[in-house]
Amino acid sequence: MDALIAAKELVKKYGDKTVLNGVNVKIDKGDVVAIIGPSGSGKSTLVRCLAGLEKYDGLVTLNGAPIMDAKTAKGKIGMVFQSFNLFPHYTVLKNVAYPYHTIKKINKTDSLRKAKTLLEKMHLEDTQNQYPSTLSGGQKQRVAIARALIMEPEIIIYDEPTSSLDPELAYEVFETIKNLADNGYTMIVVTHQISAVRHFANKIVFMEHGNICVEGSIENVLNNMNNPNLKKFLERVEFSDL
Amino acid sequence: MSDLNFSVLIQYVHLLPSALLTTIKIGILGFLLALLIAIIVGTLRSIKLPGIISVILTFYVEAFRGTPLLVQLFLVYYGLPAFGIKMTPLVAAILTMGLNSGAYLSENVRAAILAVDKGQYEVAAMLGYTSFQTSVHIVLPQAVRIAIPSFMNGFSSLVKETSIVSILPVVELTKLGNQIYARTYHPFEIYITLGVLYFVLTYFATFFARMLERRMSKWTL
Repeated sequence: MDALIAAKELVKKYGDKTVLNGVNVKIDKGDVVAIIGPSGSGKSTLVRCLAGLEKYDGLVTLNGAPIMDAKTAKGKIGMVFQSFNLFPHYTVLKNVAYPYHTIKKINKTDSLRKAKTLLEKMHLEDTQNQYPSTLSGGQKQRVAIARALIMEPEIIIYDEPTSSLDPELAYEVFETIKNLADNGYTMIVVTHQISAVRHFANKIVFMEHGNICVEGSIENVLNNMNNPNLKKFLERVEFSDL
Repeated sequence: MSDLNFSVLIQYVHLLPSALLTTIKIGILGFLLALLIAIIVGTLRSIKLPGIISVILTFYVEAFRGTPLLVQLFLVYYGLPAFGIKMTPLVAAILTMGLNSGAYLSENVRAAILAVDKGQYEVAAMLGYTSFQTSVHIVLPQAVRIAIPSFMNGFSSLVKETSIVSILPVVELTKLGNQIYARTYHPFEIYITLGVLYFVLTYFATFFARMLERRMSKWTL
């Protein structure tokens, strides 16, 4: 059976610099995969290639069908960015409802109703008439998650969703991700926050120098650290997590 | 120096509303045409286009920015009839002002589009927006917000530049002033009055622009 999303011999270069060096990865339906690794290891580039936001050599497939760019994915891959990327000219409610209305051609009333339900689940109902510029970072990121969810993607990719947030606000976002994980969503999360990863991920991928060095279930990877680089990396980030 | 005598203007006051209306018509209709051209040309010039379309659009922008408005007016009103394209002086004025101002404003639109964050395009693509939907629903509303101050500058300039239309057989403010001058020989009184009228018109434009900006500032980029 095909993996939900897979990369085969993925190579990405920026000029002479090789950022991904023949990466192979498979993510099955229901997996919640945390991608960790030092800065510059290729984590973000990998997920951007999986999402079709970067040109690459190699093959990325979604349900066995090649993904050439974000447009060929046709909204089946949801993406949540570090910088939120909410639409500043729409209120919170419209940020969630309008893409659904415009792209899926669902009438406005039903789109707004569905968006309201999602916002309620995210405890954001009080913010629905606010513009993004008035929200906290944590609220912005949860709106971004709601906007990704309304499109009913098969997988949601988070590219460092809490890197620009205070620990308290990051907690809000991770709690949301954990709830989604508990509800069976397939997700990939690029993050440095190992303490949070333990609560929602079932698989972990450690990257370094454009390669996947270690991957496996969270227990196996975090409890049997045979890779000295992973050990060193975890010691560093866990120290900074304190 | 002769004594100032504004009372000589009183007998011509009844001609003012029509001339003022013509100036406002040229200003507003010319600006609306310029806005339409600017949004279309600015958007097209901000994306990758087939070579020939890109060359045509670049030629339009550079030709209208690189030649005097007066020459453009003569060309449209006196030159085009040679090709069987005839129009009233008012239409020629509106068309020329629109084309001229549209060329300048299209560059502002293009710059505003380029100023929209790259992340907006990425998230739109991930959600499944087509390129056209991304332009219409996501990019243009933000670009227009960025470009409003330059639009309003363009509108003020255009209102003032309508005075050049006085070389055509259309009675707008400056033409009326010239006609009154020819009869009264009181240039200072006439042209200072004209100056005040143009100032009031452009001041209203600025006031309207600030109001529009305030209305749109309920959201920020």
